[in-house]
Amino acid sequence: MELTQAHQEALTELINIGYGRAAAALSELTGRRIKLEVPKVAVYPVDKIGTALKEVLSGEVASVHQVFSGPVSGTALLLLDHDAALLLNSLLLDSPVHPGRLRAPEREALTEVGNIVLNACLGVFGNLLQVQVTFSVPRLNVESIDGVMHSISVRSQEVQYALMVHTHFTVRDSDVRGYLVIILGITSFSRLLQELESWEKRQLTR
Amino acid sequence: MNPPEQTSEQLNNAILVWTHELAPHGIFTTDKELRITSWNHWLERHSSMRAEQVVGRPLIDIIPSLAERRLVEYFNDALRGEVRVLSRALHGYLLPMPSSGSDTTFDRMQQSARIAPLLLEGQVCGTITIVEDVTERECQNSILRESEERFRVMADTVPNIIYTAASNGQVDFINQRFYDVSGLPPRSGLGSGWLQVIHPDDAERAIIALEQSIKNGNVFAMEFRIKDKAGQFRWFISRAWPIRDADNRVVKWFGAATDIHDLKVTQLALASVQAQLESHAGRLEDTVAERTAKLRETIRHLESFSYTVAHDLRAPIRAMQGYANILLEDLAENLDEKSTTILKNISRAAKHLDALTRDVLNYTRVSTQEVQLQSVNVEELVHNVTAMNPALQAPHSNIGIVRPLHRVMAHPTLLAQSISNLLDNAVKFVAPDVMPRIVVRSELCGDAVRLWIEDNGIGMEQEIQPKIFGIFERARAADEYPGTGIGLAIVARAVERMGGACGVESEPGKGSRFWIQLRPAPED
Repeated sequence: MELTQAHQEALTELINIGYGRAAAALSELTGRRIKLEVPKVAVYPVDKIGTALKEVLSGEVASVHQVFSGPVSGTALLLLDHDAALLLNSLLLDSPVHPGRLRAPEREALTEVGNIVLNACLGVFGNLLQVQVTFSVPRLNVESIDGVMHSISVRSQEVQYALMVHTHFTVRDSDVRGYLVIILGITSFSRLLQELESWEKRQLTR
Repeated sequence: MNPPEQTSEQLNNAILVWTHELAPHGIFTTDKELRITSWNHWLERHSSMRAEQVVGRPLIDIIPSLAERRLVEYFNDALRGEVRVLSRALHGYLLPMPSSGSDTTFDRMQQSARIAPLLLEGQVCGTITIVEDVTERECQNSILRESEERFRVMADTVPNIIYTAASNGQVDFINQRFYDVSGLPPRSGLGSGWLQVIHPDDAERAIIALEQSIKNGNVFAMEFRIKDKAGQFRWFISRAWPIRDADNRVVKWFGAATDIHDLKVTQLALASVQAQLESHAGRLEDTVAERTAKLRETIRHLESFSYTVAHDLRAPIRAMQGYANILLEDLAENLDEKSTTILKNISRAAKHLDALTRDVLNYTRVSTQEVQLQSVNVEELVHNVTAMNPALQAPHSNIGIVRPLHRVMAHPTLLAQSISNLLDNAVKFVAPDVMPRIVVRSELCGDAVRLWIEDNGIGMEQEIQPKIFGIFERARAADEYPGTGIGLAIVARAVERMGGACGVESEPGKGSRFWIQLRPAPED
C-alpha cells in the first residue's frame, strides 16, 4: 500500500492537529514553549518497518508502547534513541544530562511524554473515524531495534502496515528527533485512508 | 478435603478485598461525574481520610488543588477512554499526602500515578487511579546521583582514561579524557567503539589480549597507540582489573589507560642512541688504535729524521765556528773593528746553533734510546753531574744535598741528563749578582720517590708553569737568559720514558722547586 501525495498531506495535517494538542499539554506541564513538528510521514509493510527504523536509529532505543483496541486496534509506539531520550528528559525537566542508563524517574517521565503524544495522535484518528478506542497502560522499554520489532510482532492473519511519523521536538532551541509508529491491520488502515479522503473533501468544501 | 468450588463472583470478590485491604498502592475509583466511588485502605492510612468521609463526594472537593494544577483534565481524558500517566518528575505527586519515610528530602509523599477509564461492558463508567509511593526511590536516586556525579567529576578530572566494561568486554563507561584525547563524539567509545582509534597494528593484539583476559579472568594489560584528535598516534599503557561476585564470576572490568608516549619515545630514542653509541665506541677504539700505531710510526720516523739532521748539521756548524775563530785569532791585526764584530757574531751564532743541535740530538736520543730501569744511587749521580760542570761548583754556585737521597729505579744516563738539565737551569735563572743556592733532597711520596731540586732563582708565574716542559717553550726571553728551550722538554721526556713524572712549584722572586718522581729501588 502506498500513500498518495494527497494522503501524505492530509495525514500530516491531521497529525499536526494532534501534535498541536500534545505540544500545548507538554508546554503547560513544563512551563516551557515546546513545539512538535512532522517533517515526514511514510507507510511500510510491517516487516519492513524495522529496516526503515534502523536507517534513522541506532544502538539502544527507548520506546513507549501503547496498545489500543476497539473497532480499530493496533499498537502505537514513540521511539527515541538513547541519547535523544536523555536529552529530551533533561530539556523537559530542566536538569543536566546525566549520562548513563535511563533510570526509573526518567523512564516514568518519558512514559508520560510518550503517553501524551500517542494519545493526542490517536485521539484525532479516533475522532476522525468516530470510534471509541481504549488504550492499555503505556510501558517503556529500552532495547535494540530488533528487540522492539520482536516485542511488537503480533500474530495476526491480517496483513499489517506501519505508519511512521518523523517527529521533531523543539525545546529551548534544541531539537530532539523521535519517531512515532502506528501499526494497524489492513482493514483499519484502509478505513483510515477512506475517512481521511472524505475529511479532506469536507475541509475543501467548507 | 477438596477446596470449595469457586464461582467467578467469589473470585472477583477475593480480588476486590485484596485490592481494598492489602494492595501496597493507593487505589480509588470515580463515577462519570468524578465522584469518589471507592477509596482503599492504603489511601485511608496515608491521607488520614476514611472511606466513609470521601465516598460519594466530588473528587475536586477532596483534592481542591487538582483544579489549579490542571490535573482534572487527566481524569476527563480517562472518561474519554484514554489512559494517563502522571510521572513524579513532572508532577511530584497526585494526592497531597505527608511523606512516609524518615528522610526529610521531601515534605510531601512523592508519587507516580496511572489514571485509566473504568469500563463496564465496553462503556466508560468512571475512572480508576493507582497511586504509587516513590519517595524512597527518589531519595535513593538523589543519593545515587550525587555519588555518581562525584564519581563522574573524579573520573573526568584525572589525567588518565578510565573505563568500565561488562563481563563480555563491552565498554559501558569511558571518561571524558578519552574523548578529549581522541576527539570522538560523546558515547562513541562505548561497546567496541574505542577500537576505532587504536593503531591498526595494535588493534588485533588488543582484541586477542582482551579475549584472553575475558576467558581466564586475568588482569588485562598492554601497551598500544591511540590516534589523537590531531591524527597522531600516542602510546598508552592500559590495565583492567576484573571485579568478581560472590561466586567468583567476573561481573565487571575496571580499567585505566595512561599516556606514556613521551616516556616511550624517549625510551626508544635512548635505546637507538645507546646502540649507535656502542657501535661508535667500538669503531672509535679501532680507529684510535690504528691512528696511534700510525702516529707512533710517524713519530719514530720524525725522530730518526731529526736525529740524522741534527747529527749531520754538527760538522758544518763546527767548521763554521772553527773558521771564524781562525780568522779572529790568526788574522786579528789585519781586521778592522767592524770585521772583528761581524766575525764574533758569526762565531757566537755558530756556538748557539751547535748547542741547539746538541740538545735536539739529546732529546731525540732520550726519545729513541732503549730504556732498561735499574737501581740507581742518586747521590752518586748528582756528584758526577756537578763534577763535570764548573758552573755547578763553588764559587759559581752552592749545591747542598740533604742526605740520604733515596735510591730509585731509573736509567742512569737519562736520569743524569735530567738532573744535569735541572741544575743547569737552577744556576742559570738567578737574578744578576746573586749566588745560586741549590738544595737537592728526596722524599717518599706514596709508593714513589720524589726528588726535589730547589733554587733561589727568579721563579716564574703560575700560568706558564704547565707550559715550560714543552719543547721550545721558555719562561724568559732568550736575550735575557740564553738557552735552547729544549732542556726541560728533555727532562719531561726522559722521566716519562722511565715511567715517572715531573713538575714544578714556583713563584716569581721566590725561587723554583722542580721535582722528579720515580719508583723507589727495592731494598737490598
